Amino acid sequence: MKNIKFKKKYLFVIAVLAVFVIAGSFIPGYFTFANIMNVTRQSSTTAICALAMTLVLIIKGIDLGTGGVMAFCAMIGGTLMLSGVPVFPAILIGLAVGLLVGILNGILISKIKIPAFIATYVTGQITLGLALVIGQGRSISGMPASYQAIGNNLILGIPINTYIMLIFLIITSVILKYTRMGKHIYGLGGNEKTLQMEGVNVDRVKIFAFALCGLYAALAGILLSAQMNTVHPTQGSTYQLDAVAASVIGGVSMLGGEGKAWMSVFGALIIGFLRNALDMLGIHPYYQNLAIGTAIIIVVGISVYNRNKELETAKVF
Amino acid sequence: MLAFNQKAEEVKQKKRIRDFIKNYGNVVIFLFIWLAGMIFVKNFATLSNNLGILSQAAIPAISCLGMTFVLMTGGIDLSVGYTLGFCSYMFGLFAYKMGIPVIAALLLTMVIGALCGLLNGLLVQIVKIPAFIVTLGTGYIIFGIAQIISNGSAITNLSDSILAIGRAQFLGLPSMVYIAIVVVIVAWFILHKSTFGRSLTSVGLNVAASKLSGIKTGFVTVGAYVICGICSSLAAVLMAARVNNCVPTMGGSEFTFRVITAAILGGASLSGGVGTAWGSVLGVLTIYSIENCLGLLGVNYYMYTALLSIIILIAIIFENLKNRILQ
Repeated sequence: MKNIKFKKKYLFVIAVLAVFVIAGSFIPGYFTFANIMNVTRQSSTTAICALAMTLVLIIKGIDLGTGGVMAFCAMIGGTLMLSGVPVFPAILIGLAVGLLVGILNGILISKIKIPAFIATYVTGQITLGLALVIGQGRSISGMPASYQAIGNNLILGIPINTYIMLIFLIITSVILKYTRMGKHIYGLGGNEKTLQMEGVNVDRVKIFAFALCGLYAALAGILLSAQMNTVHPTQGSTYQLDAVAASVIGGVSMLGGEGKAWMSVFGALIIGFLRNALDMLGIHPYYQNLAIGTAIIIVVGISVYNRNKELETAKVF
Repeated sequence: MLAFNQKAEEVKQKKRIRDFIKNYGNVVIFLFIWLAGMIFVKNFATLSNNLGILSQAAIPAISCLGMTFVLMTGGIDLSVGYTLGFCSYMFGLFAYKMGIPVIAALLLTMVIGALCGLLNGLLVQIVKIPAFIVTLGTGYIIFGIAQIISNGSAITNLSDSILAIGRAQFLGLPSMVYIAIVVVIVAWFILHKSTFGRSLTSVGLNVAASKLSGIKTGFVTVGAYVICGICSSLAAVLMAARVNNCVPTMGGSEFTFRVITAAILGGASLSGGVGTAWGSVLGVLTIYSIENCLGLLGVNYYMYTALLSIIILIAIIFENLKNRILQ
């Protein structure tokens, strides 16, 4: 049984790699080092959002407010920089605000028991609104050169963004795999009541997951604005769907309790390389929304179908 | 004995208060906003301003009634904004570009809206994917299709005969208000006076029990999404007539957000089985009264989204705490 599951899991990875190689051999310039590094740089924002999404998907939550948080925190950081605050403290304040929004989400979901997708949707709208207020509906630019460097410079030929993505992949993996909180996160997704009976403070686990999710979203927003050297109030709007799509395509279950950190980064890279290939083939971006929406429904549909089938087999035996 | 009677009386009293809050909480919120506006905001209480609120609320009210059907089943439709944008463009295509008579174009658009709803309903019912994921995905699919068909362009400068469908004046109000009133009456009848409406409540409260008692739960669930799609397409046609513009980006997630919050403010429950037609209309009126007050107070335009969503968050928290106290 375990063997079959193993095959199923890696069959997908192999299929994706095969498509990647075939696509790459047809498109000139696709397999150059510069292009691959460029895609990892572009995907790093989606990947960090997807890491955040994975944390909350495991506990059967979802974050539909990523876009707002991304814009709001970057907007705060950028405005502080423009008013003379040094780059590093400004970024830290931006991240702290993201953390606070995450904690607010966690409290709304655990203590007041609002469904996650409604609570995060509303806080997303609030933060989006506040980003609009701060920027007066316009984008801000002219941040210091060192800020821009974070998003665009290379170390040893690899973009700084890619390093940051890998660092946070490792941090998230360690939290999920080796800490007690990580085990509680999986337990919460599997069976909340059992975890509660074991004496775990379930609310604290939920708040932790959503707080981390807010922090990551803020980081993604700041990285995105550093890359563009502007902050636009609606800069994050496409990222929440991409983050859900990346996690789900990477193999994180929407039904909770399952999923690993690398899966979301893998999913983000698939989307990144797919978009890149479509761009290089000259296919209009309009088709990309269509493709990603369809991909989500197909992948989630298959996983739900498999889960139901497993439940039925479990009933028979 | 006397003490017992007193106790019984007290319990009854408490129950009466509970029932009142449960059934008329939305009325209290609306009256509170409206009275506050009347006292503190200059020019709010004038007749023309209130008629203005009515015509602003007409289009979202139609969508909100559709959403109420879906919420009743325990589902949610996050794609209404995109369905609205898609349908508005299709209406422009039919009525203006192809020159199909307005009524026929309206009917064709409603068929497209129904198909969008059918897609959502089938995915929710047959594939059993959670509703908010389905509609998040289909929202982007519908938006993508709309963008491909429109190629990023808009249809403007509609002819007067097309615009008349939403704009024709009668007794000082545009025709869309009367259309909305008709939709409210139809929705009220279906929700509260028909077998379908009762099955809907039953499915929302308990699917398994409804199935055992012989209700075609699948038909009811899919039907709710189809109705929601039809309502969105009707709203799309009126919106196109109102702004004289047919463009896929018209509704979007902001419109969806308004519609859902209006339904919740109106007393519909996210967990299904609870919701009334008049409550949803009241929810829409509450939101537009708030927005109108903010406008009259000269609040910065960019504060709208933030303030409105903070108020909505407070309302949702209030609603949740209320439900928990009642239980």
